Amino acid sequence: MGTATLTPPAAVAPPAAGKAGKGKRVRPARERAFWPFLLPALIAYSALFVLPSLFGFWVSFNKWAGPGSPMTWHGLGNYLELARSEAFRTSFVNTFVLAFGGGALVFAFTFLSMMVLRQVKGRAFIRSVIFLPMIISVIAVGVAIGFLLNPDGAVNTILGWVGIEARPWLGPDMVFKCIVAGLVWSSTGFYVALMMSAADSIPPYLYEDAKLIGATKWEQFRHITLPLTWDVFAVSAVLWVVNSLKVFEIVIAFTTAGTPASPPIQARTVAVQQYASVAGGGVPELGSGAAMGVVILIVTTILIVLTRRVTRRERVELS
Amino acid sequence: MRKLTVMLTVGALALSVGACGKKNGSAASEKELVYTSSWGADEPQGKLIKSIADDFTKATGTKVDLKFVGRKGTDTLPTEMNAGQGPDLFDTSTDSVGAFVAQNLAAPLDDVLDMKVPGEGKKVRDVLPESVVKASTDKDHVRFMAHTVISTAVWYDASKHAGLAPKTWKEFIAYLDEAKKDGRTPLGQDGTVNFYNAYWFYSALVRSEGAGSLSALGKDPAAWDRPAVLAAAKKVEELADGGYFQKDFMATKYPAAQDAWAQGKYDLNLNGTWLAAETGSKLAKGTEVASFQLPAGGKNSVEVGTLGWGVNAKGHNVEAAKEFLAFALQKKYEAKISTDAHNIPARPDVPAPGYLAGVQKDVAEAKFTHRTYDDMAADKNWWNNVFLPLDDQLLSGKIDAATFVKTGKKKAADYLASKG
Repeated sequence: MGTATLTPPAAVAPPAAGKAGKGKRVRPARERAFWPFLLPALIAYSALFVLPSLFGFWVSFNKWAGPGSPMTWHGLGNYLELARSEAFRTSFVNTFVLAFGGGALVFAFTFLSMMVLRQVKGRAFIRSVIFLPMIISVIAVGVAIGFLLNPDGAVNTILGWVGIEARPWLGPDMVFKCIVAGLVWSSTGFYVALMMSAADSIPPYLYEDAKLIGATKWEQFRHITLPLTWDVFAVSAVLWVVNSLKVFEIVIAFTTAGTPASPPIQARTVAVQQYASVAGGGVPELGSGAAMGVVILIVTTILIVLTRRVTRRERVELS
Repeated sequence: MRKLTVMLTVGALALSVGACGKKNGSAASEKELVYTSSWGADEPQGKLIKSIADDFTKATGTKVDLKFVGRKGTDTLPTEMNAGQGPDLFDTSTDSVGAFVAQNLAAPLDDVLDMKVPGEGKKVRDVLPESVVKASTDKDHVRFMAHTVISTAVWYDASKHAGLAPKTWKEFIAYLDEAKKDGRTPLGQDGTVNFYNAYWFYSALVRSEGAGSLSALGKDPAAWDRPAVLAAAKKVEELADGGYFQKDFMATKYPAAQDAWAQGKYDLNLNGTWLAAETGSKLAKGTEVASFQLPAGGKNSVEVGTLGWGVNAKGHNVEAAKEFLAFALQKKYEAKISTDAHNIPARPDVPAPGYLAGVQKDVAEAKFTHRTYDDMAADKNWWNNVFLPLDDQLLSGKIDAATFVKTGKKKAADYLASKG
């Protein structure tokens, strides 16, 4: 057999060698096509992404009020200022709380949905309902939040009916918890949709087998659903990390929407802090904003690597 | 700050306009002014600007290419202007012109003051009072021409409290106590807007001590030691402790409190001259909006901020743009600022709408004036990251006046040290 398998190439070899000139012509043609095909994308990517990123990196070492104003070298000054700024430190911690605390909640709800929703009647409908917050505009959310959570809003009114004292939901001390809840509410649907589509492709007979041997819902999830959707979970986890580190609109929707005010320090994320340093009245602090961008880029990179590492598993495949 | 009038929600930001502005580089632009306006075409100011532009073209032959892009449409303006692609004229204000100046985009307009206002035989400097010019000037030059004056005052309904005008802090507190005793909520406050919260301390300090007294706090830790700073903080502490604001006001999301004020739920609201226009349709029937200055004693300085037109220093038609400014300051146009836009005209010889007449008088009679937030907001990091959060603590009653001053001094020193 071994020789048999080896023979054909050998037999083919002479013709191949005979067509060597032609073969050589084919290969360079492909090589010649390499750059013309790659270049447009490479140029576009470099011009629109790589160069601006490098420029942003450069700006982070300078004081700069924007195009037209002189850029003055500030060394690590912007970074040191960030380290000393209570507002930035708080926003940094908040961003992590959102990434990890919010992430834990989002995936807890996602897994729960996967356990519960797999066989429920009307699950497609329920899934759409869970997904809905994802597509509601943040502007609408912002307005609704005022109606719901203001001191004399709907939530406090309803709580009043059952004898619970009104709470200052949007006050500086409580608003961040509300933001975490809002973020979980608005993003869970996306991850449910993603994970469920993976779960749907698991053949039902695996669950039937499991049921026959008396596996509980949790055991079915633990031994069938999770291993077979792990790849999608790994991707979802990375997506979450990337998205959670740039949480912005929802903070604004819960706090200052409609005004150029800055949200209370207790509720700021790095993205919000960055926005406050460059937008609104006053002289833009682009160096400071760029430094925040660099910090969050580094953190994102580290977290993605860690997430990839933690979620790395032997791939489970159905034979 | 009048930009509050628009719901510039940040959702819109995310989808923000990437579109470039009108190109101004063509050869045909010799006799064409380009004006990118942050007003809406349907707003009274937009309509007024359109009519000025039409008249200007008729009078001078210079075409005006007018584009209304709205508040968020001008986000990319500085970039366009720097690239030599921006408009000749743009809208700006006392608190937003700083960024244009920092980016060398706001042409000096000192010479416009000596230009003649067409048909009136007067120079621009004769029709605009000093306080208005000051509000449109930085340390070096006049940076824009004002069409509108904005200011801050305590607003009330004169149909219920006719002639309310406490002259001293004591009288003011006495009124608040009386309102409280009668079961009313004396003060409405949208506490989630930190710069509205800052109105109290800022007004208490700067109205008494005059221009420079607030901005000094971000530049010199020793400025916190002045007795007037503690006195102003004590006033705010008194408001916080007195329970004069609505319950949980720090958790009240804009514009709930000002709307409730408009509905007559609260007696007073400390706010800008745009308040009545902003609450507009929500004003309860029969409301007669009127105002008084927060009584703080001392110099009795009055805030004068302005909205107006800036000229692009890198524009192609700086001279024609200046000509447009002198043209636009004619009395007939300024009258529309009052009658159509319901604002205080920059020219004091044009009467403001009834409910703003009080502020217009305050401005005209003021011996001392100061600019919006005494320019403290120009230092964004100090303003957003240090001062406003600290001020929120004072107004919400979390810290007392003494702690406010002590912490403020320390934070100012830390901030200045970190800036190096």
